[in-house]
Amino acid sequence: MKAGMRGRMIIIILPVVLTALALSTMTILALSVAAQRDRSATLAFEAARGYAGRFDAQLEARLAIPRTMARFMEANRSADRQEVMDGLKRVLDMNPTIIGADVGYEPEAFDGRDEEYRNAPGHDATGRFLPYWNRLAGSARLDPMVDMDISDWYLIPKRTGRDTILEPFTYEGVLMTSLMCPILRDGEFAGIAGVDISLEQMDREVSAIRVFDSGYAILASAAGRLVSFPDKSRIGAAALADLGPAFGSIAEDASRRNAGRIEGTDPVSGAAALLCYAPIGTAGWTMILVAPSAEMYQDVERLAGSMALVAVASALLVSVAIVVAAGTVARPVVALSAMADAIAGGNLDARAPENQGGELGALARAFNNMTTRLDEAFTEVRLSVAELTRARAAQDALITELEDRNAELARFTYAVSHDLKSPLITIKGFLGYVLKEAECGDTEGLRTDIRRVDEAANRMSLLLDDLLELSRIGRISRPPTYNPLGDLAREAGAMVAGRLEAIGAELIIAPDLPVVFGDKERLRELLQNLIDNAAKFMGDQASPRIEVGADKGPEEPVFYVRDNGTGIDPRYLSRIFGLFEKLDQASSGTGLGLAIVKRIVEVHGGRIWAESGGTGKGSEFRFTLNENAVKAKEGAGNGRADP
Amino acid sequence: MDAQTHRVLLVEDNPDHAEMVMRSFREHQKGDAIHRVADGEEALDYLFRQGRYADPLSSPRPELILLDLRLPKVDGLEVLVRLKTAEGLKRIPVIILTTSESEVDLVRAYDGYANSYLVKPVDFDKFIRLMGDLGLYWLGWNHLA
Repeated sequence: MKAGMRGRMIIIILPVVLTALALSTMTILALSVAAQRDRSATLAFEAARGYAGRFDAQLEARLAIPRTMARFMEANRSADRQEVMDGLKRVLDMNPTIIGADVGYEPEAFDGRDEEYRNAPGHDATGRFLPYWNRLAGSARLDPMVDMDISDWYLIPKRTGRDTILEPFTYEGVLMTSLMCPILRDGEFAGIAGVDISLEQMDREVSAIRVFDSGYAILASAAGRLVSFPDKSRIGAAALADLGPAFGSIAEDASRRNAGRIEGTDPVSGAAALLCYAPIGTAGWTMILVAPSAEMYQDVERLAGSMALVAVASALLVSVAIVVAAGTVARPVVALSAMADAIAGGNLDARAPENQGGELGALARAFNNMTTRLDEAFTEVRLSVAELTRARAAQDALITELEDRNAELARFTYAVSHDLKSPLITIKGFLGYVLKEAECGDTEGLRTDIRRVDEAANRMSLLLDDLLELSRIGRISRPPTYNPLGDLAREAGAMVAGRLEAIGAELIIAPDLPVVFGDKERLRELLQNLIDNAAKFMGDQASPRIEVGADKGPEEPVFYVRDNGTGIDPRYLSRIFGLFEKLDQASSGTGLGLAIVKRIVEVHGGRIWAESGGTGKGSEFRFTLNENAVKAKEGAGNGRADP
Repeated sequence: MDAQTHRVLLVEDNPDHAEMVMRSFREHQKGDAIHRVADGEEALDYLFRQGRYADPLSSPRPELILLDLRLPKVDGLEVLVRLKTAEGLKRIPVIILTTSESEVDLVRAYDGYANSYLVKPVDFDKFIRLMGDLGLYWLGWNHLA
């Protein structure tokens, strides 16, 4: 019962709560991870744009040099060639990052005096002004530029009329780029001014960029050539697209000057990485940040881990709480249930504890009220039933008594009619004979028959006396008193002293007889009749003895009057207390003595019976009295009436 | 004693009544033809030839039994039932001679196959006449088995 209810509560509540907890945890985790990932990705992306801007500014700053040179050349038409070449030398000397500085004019475009400078330093064979101060070989020197009419670095600015940052190129093992600006004269293209810069410095700067722990930056040119890359051997040689499919997409998108981010693979480690790219506007180059996913989402994973931990801990806590709560909620209900079982089992004293609050306390109180009412009702019913039972028993006892009385009355009537008639028949009969004998003078016959009539009349008188006595017992009663039974026995013995003396009988009265409560005269008559009866049936006993005494019975004492006379045939033991029953017709008496004895014992609430070993073995009349009739003397004189 | 002297068995506890019955028989019949026992037990002893009547010579079969109902020791009705269910005795006519006019006694007597039920008259003359008629009828007119 207990485990059942508690178990059911746990089985119902726990999965629901745990599922809800798991769902919410998963949702929060997913949202958090997404947000965190987004934040990391945005961070990386913004970093990419930041670096792109920085290098854009750097390139722009470098581009300012040739631009200034170009504007200068446009403004000072009068400057001579040597002056320009000296200026180039100064630019080279002043900027260590610049490997070369140059100007290149269209033929005759500078001052129309090319002829004069054929094969002069900084000029070609036609005398075209092409000075190129450089330190490609280490120390600074002046060279004429070559192949300019077939090279992009000259043709693109000439064609577009715009500043141009050339595709990086390797010269003497050094990756470089050229920043070229067109020199316009009266809106006409006259030549270019430019500087060559080493990209090694830029590569170092890009290589110094760290994204998270091991992430890095890649710099690619407009054509997709690698300008900065961890593997230096691939700089200038490999293209973006060579790094993987994601980089192909980046190259394509970057060519349209777009910024973006894409999930891809770190070309160095081969691990998953977020690739963020942003254009470097001036040069059309692309800055790419490789952010390793593992590092970028490290926080996210840590977050997920701790959240999972918290979720598991919460689940455990909630489980324990539910188990405990189920027990707490179930306990009073289980107690109520146990109480209901107890009540069903008949224990109406069972009560539920009322000390919890809320509905359960109210329920317990209601339950207890109900039980109390039930108990009261049951008690009433029990009392009623007990009363009914008592009344019924009393009624039954009354009916039984009434039936007994009726039967007794019938027996009495019958016996009286029979036994009173007998002496009448004798009297009338022998009076008839007396008349005949008187007529014929038979004096002997007369004497005999008159004696018969006389005896019959006497017997009838005795019979009437005894019948009257019998009818009075229990009907006419004197107030009961406390009487020592020993005294009564001695008085009874004195009343029949004559008969006892005549047969030489010894009467022995026990010394320890108790005090009995009842009608003194009747009790003495009882003992007298029994002693007389014993003396009457002594037979030819040589030493007749009659004992009066008491035995301790299981409930009340059993009194006895015992003799060593003729005894009683066991077949007739039950009949001897009947009205007019005489076992020996020759014996004196009316046959009512023992009936009177029985009646006296009965009105004193006792019973009487006879015991005998058989004819010639003596007999014993044993009787009890109502237990209330045998008690100590302290209650004497309370005037209680006999029923 | 021959059989002729014991034709009637009188079962009567009251000695005065027994005397009256026997005097009547002496006047009307042969008086010594009657044998009286004083209680039910003695009656059964006589009829079943036991106890002091064990000798068949002392207890010849009666031709008629006069039986009182209220008897010491063994009741008259029990004596009736015992002898009416005994093979050698049941054909002997049993005349109930009692003071009882009780309907119950009457019915139980006939139920016990009593042959006749007579109530002792209180009046002396009637008593004498009844005894005369009884002897005449049962020992005279009546055929015995």
